[in-house]
Amino acid sequence: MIWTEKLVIKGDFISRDLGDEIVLMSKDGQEIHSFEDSGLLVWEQIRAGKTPCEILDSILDEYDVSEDQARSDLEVFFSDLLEKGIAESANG
Amino acid sequence: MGELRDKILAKYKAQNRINAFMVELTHRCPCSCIHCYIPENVPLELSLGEYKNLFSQLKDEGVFDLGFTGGEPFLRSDVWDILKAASQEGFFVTVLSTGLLWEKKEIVRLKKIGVQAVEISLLGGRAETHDAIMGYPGAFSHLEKIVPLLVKAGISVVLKTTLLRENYRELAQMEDLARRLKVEYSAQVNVSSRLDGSSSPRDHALGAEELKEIPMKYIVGQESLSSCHNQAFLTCNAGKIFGSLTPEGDVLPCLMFRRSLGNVKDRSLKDIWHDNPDPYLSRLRELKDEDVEECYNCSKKDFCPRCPAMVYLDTGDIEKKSPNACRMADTISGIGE
Repeated sequence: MIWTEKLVIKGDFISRDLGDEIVLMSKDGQEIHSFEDSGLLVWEQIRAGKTPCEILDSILDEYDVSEDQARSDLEVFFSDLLEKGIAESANG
Repeated sequence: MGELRDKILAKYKAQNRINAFMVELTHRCPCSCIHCYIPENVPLELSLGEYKNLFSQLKDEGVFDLGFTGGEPFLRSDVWDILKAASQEGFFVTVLSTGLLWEKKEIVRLKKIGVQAVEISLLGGRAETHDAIMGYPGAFSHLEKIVPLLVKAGISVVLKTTLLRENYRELAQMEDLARRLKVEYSAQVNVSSRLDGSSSPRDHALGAEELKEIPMKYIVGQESLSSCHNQAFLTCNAGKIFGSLTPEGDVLPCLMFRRSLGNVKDRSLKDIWHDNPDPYLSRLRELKDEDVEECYNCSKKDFCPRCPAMVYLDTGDIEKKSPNACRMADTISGIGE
């Protein structure tokens, strides 16, 4: 995980903003994901083009959580996005 | 994934948020199907610009599935621009078409534009039957030609049959054809009155004896949160997570529920659907199974293919019983006795 390297959302998913939740569906209709709460915040930050480092700062501003815990949770979240093919590294 | 999908659909339902929307692009059609619910007078049609505006509103609403039907949608000269605009907004685009205006070039174009699924009527297991019901010579052979091309292009295909007196004996042949073409097949028995009130399409609906020969799966829907009509319930998802639009821009609770809730040329979709809903729409959303008093305690309820939209079309009142559904329930409940 390179914390200064942006992630970009791939075009294989359709997203819908339900206000308090983002729903993602793969274009083949076979996969569905949703993000709420902190997941929603992270998602919006990725869409806004923030780096993982900047997203970590936002999480620390918004939630009462230790940096180690936030960093660990974000690593899991980002790995999940990459593994599921929802996002990719901006540098390919 | 099923659990998450159900959770999300439940959220849509709780918010009366549209998940799937069907657009009738035109009532013009090269066919003259004997059971068609569309009368001959052709309404005005929305422009490409008006559709683009609508798609943006549908995206904001949260709609994932966007379907286009007719008449025959491909009689519109701007249909490709409409489909392209829809696809660019990021919908799962499905087209319901006769397919009669498609050749290889059009199928490649469908795929390129991003159409993911097509549904085509199959009205007979033999060419003579299919062509006669559609009033279009050569329709069957054309269907046999284009479906493999659609499959090859990676477009999902469903062949759909309305079972009629004229074709129900060919059900097995139609199922076989779908298997042979490696596509999905669905059939149903409900025949709607025509939109102008004529009951002539019903002359072709299956009678009691004929219904006995139809597998239950084609009469009774499967229980699913996302299905529009659920056999287990007297109410449905029309006006909640389903909506539809006529060619002239009237918003409907669903394609068959011909009650205008407002026109998108005069009002925003949000105003029509959420902010100032027609009182009838509010009533439809509040309606519970037990409110349909005549049906709620009926012993044959579990066998009834009652569709609220068709009840409205037949009687003008969704709380009434449906004479047509009652007739079917009488028959179906007697099967196996």
